[in-house]
Amino acid sequence: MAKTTKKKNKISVFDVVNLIAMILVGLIMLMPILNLAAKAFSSEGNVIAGKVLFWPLGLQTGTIKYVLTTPEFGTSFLVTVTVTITGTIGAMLLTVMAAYPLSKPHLIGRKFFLYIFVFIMLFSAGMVPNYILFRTLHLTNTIFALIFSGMFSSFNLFLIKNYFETLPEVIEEAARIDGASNMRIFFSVVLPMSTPVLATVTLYYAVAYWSNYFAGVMYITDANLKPLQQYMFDLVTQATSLQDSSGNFGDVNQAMNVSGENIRAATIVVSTIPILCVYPFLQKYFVKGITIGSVKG
Amino acid sequence: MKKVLSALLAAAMILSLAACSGGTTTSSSSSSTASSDSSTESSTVSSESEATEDDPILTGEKPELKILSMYQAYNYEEQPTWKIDEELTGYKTKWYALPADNADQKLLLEISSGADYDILLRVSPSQYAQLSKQNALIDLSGMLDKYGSNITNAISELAWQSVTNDQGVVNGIPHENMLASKEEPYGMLTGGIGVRSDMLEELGMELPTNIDDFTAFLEAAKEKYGFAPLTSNKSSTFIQVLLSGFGMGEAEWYDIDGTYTHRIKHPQITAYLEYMQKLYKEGLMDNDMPINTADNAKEKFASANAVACAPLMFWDIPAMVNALATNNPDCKIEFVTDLAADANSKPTHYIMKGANFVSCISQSSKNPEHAINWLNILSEPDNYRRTYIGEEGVSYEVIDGNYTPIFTGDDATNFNAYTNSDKLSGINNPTVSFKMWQARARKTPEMAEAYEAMNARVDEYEPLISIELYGKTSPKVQEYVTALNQAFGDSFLKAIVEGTDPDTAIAAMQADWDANGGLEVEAAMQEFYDANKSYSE
Repeated sequence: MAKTTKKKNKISVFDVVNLIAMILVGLIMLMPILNLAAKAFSSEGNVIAGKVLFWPLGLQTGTIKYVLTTPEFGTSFLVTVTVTITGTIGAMLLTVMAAYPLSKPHLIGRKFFLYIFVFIMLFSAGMVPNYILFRTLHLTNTIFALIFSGMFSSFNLFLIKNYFETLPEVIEEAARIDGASNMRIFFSVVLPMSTPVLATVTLYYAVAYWSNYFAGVMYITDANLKPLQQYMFDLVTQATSLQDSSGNFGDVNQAMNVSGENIRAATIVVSTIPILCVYPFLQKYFVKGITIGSVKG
Repeated sequence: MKKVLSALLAAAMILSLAACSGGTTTSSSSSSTASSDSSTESSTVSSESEATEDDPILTGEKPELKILSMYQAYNYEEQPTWKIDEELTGYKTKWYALPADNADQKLLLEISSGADYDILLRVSPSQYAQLSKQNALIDLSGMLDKYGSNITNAISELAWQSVTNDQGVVNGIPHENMLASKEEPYGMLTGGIGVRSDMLEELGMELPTNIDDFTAFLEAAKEKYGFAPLTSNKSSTFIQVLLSGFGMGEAEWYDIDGTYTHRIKHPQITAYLEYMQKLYKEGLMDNDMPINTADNAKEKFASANAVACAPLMFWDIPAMVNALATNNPDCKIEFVTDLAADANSKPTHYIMKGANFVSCISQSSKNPEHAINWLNILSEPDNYRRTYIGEEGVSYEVIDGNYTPIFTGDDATNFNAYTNSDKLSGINNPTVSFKMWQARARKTPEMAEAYEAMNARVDEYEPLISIELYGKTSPKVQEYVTALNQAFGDSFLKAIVEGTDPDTAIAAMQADWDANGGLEVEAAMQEFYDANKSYSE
């Protein structure tokens, strides 16, 4: 026993190399974020002069204030928050309610349904049919297009289904003997026991909704419904494409309205912070949820 | 039994869902066909007669118009001009915008699936060409005769030709670029190569006005500072200011003894390549140029690691002034504008006639006449002025014949309210609106100073008119020109960097051009030029 403990405490060369490599990789990933944050808080002059690296120069909060008070940003932010909250709740309800019956071996047609979900995980109809479907259902230019388009993921369904399968059947049987209905068992017994996987999948859905840029491009032309990611992407693309067009603008009005680099940086920073804040709260469930859900199955 | 029942119930639900969506498809597609029929019908009816006083389009109830326009970082409906538009026209409007990226695909997808926008406002000429080719647009001639007198009066004959197809059908309304004219060239110079005033002073030199002076200036700067004095970005292989020293400029097509010739076959292109190679090889030009973005080049310039930056426009000044101040608060930007070939010749500058945007109406529009009427009211000259720059004495004033912005008073009514008004205004004579636009050039004192300073030299220039932008909208040209120009630009940049013998390099580029559709493009452009040559005089 003593030997094992000693072995456990010993730090090998591999551990050191591993740690250093991981720290380096982490730093490399952190660098662009730090650079953007530094630009967002620096004066415009220092940003254009290329002096800002990882620390703000000419510290100011005017740019952040400007971004936060831009009506277009406010609208897009509200759209994305609404879509993320309602979408995640809806998607979770849909996914757990589909996963639960599929986790029961005695469900009639279980295999058939499972194959259908595997099929749609591997193959999709494609962009144009999806667009036509949404248009036919009169969902384009409505907030529902943004909500429904990300409301179900087969991958998440399998994660939850696999987790449900690991729960001991006897607990449900005990609840049934005590007179609990199917719904009662599901909401009061099964779901409370599944917090790790629920937290993980909630995070998956929330992040997917928050960073969904594609649905906006596909289904929305009304600026009042434009999600944050599309607003941000458009702002950055337009600025870079106009600035790289060698000064030969043609449209002189357009050229004069390009957003500055620090405004772009501030927009990116402001729109990333809210979703980053969700991580610490769900982190503790995260690793457990993903491993338990996927290994057994 | 229960299980079987629930399985059956589930199957029934799936089937009913499928049936529901199927039903919707049929009804929607039939309604879209109906609306497209009715729009064609109404357009035919309206073209039959002139508008009369009791015309329901002019006097009847005005529907809310759905407008699809180009991408802007702002929301159209948040702009003060949106409300002014509604007051002037009496039409309520709902604005939609294409995305900044993949706008072409999105537009085609929207239109092909029967989206019922009443007007497609300010699409690009290539998007217009695509929609027109697919018969997605309605003929506007009749409607313009009846409801569009302000529009037709404002647009030049050449611009109309550019939107008229072989059968004489007009599917679009061109928005001509705001431009100076040969008669009144003031304001045509908007930028060039920016030079740091502090370094120019240290060198004790004047701003160069011809190629020889410019080379001497770069050589002196290189000797004094040791680094490459001219920085540029990867997209700026063809620097307009330098090209003018070789008989070219912003234009790509030139009349060489009656032959409409692309830059690639211009007699001086080899000399230009040789000059660029010299700048690059001798370290007079930033050797990072092939990988620089516009931001990188500006960074070097602002941080005093370059003396000059190409290109720089006067509207870059407000941001650049702050950047320059980080290492020298007294530094200003001076502009080298289009250079002459030598001290004895006159520099030239091309005024690029063209239409950046075209407005059109799709087959599925429900209110085509109302859309034209709406645009026509906005194009009435006084209404245009009201929507574009506001009210005299409130948002602008005219000082010595120059439009000047007013920033005092309420932000909701002073010049600040009109920052994004151009995309919500109608159509106006491009020369007249160019003068109004100059109020924007005078938005900050530094910008006004630079703009006035460079244009103080405008009389030394010989203004030339280029009409090539109209020729480039032809389908034959569109088919090849983007790929050809891209290949030419890439090979040219490569030749600058590698220092290939200029004659050999240009001959190879020309052979490549000819083999990949260049000859077809040349033929189409020649045909266009022969028919419209008089407009460039």
